[in-house]
Amino acid sequence: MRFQQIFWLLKKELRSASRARWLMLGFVLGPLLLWSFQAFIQGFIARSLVAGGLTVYITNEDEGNIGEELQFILNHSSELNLGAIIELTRSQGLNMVEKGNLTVWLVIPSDFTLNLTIEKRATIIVYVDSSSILASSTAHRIEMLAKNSIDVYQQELYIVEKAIRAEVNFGLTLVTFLIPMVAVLAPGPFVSESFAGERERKTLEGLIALPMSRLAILSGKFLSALVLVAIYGVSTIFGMILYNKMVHLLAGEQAAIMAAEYTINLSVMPMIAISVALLSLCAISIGIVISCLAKDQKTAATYIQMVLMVPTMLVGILSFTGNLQTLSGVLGLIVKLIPFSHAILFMNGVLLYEAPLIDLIINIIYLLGATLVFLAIGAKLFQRETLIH
Amino acid sequence: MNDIVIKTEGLVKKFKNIVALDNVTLQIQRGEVFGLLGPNGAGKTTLMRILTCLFAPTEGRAEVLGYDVTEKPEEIRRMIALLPQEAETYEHLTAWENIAYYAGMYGLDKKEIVYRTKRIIELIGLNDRAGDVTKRFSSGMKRKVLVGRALVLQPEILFLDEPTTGIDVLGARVVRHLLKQLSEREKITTVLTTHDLTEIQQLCDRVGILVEGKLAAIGTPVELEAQFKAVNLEDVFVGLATGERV
Repeated sequence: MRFQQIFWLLKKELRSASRARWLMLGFVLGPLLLWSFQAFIQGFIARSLVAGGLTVYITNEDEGNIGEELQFILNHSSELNLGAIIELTRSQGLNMVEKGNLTVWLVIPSDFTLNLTIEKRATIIVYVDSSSILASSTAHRIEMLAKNSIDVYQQELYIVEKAIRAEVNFGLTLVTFLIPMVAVLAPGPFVSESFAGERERKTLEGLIALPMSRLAILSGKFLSALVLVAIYGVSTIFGMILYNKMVHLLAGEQAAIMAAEYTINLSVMPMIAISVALLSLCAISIGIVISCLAKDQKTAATYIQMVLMVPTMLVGILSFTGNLQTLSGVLGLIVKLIPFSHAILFMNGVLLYEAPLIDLIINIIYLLGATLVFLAIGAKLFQRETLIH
Repeated sequence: MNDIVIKTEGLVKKFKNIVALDNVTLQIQRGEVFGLLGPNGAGKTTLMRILTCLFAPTEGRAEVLGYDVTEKPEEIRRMIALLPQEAETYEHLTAWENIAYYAGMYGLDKKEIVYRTKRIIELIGLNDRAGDVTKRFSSGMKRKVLVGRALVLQPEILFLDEPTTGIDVLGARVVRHLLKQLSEREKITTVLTTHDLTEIQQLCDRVGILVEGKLAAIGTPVELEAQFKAVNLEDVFVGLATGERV
């Protein structure tokens, strides 16, 4: 009988949810819109990477002739497709760096030829405004061309890259920021409606007066949330497929190679969908706790959004700026205690770099553990008399 | 015949320092329509919640259909139905789905669910609107669905907590008419809380008047009028609620 009751509860919850159009739109269209938005950004980035026309500054202090030859190559390269190469002195350049007026600046030192001839290796300095996608890609192409040119002389070229502005990582780091944010916030309306909303409308009192334990009621409601999360996970996979197609389409033929770098490998898609689903489940369990404590649906919805959004934004921003992995001390510990940080670390590990499997497993276990702890607290709160008082 | 289905002895319920129920002792017989009358905060809903196993008593004991409310809550719940105060329907579900859902929650088989739901829909007079989502229903129609939802369980005791509160005059009349029909036709033991004296006089066999958590009086309306030498039940109620002599 218990399973039959849970089934009926599940059926009712899903039927109600399916008729709440905005709720369903959020679950189905949310990931599709999000991934399309991401595709626009990635497509733009990919296209920008092959675009030319950038003005590059150069300071050639070399007392020999190799620096001059290198400058000649840069000036006449059709691959680089530079807008102009402007010569300036080191002091002028440093002054412009200070003002933030430069995008790419090459400094060839005075001992460049001497070092290449005697030591067989030399260094050039490249200042880059890494907040500009075009500047970063142009600098990268200049570096590659310079290295290839110097190879002719069987010598080694070192390039020291200096950031004009603080490092800003674009691309897939944005994915690991936006996806968790939406995954965490998407189930909020369902949870507040299903728990606090039912309480507010006094339908919960009638429900818990039925011959069914409160734990069974909670299980039924959690199962229906699970179904919605599964829909969200499937929609996320479709969103990623759509994203891959759109990135290629928007980047165009010329940037096909760059676009390929941004597309998501099919094999990691299920892992991303799983982490998104786990993240949503954790958010649901926290939402249940809040709903059991809040006096009405509106309060529950507000607290759910706040409690879930603020820490997710915090870890999302830390991830976006590349600090999430390296953060240490008390702040590092606090951030790592936030369950959502483990979903973001998992996604970073899958998408941005090849994290060891054990790290990925630890992140998943932490996320599952947090979900179970919050569910246990929710179950305890759901038993209280004050739930309906 | 002495068939007592509800029995309380020295029932006390405290919420921190507030005494919501104070030494309530009463008995309700099978087939009786029992009204709990009292001003706001008198303890009517608290008593009903103890009898429906939603609250545990602080002191004393309560038995429903021979089972102790704290010891065998699920057994009791299998045989009762509750319509909570100001309850709403599931507005995204149709009238039919609202009623069938409750029947399903009682573990009935599909055939029985369909049979009972059809019968209840006819009983509450919503044949032509059974397939409509209740979001579009008037307050009176919604209350009919809620009463139907409670009845589909074919309970031995029906608990109705202020069934006409919050609905308009016409809606309240419709619900009262439905409850009257049910008490006459179905003979279900009904416990009804209200502050509406018309409701008490139209529907109830006996009345218990609760004042500040205490059962101040119990009896048929006629007995109470005679006991307090009052012209009508309203005078009895006002006298007990305000402490003034009738």
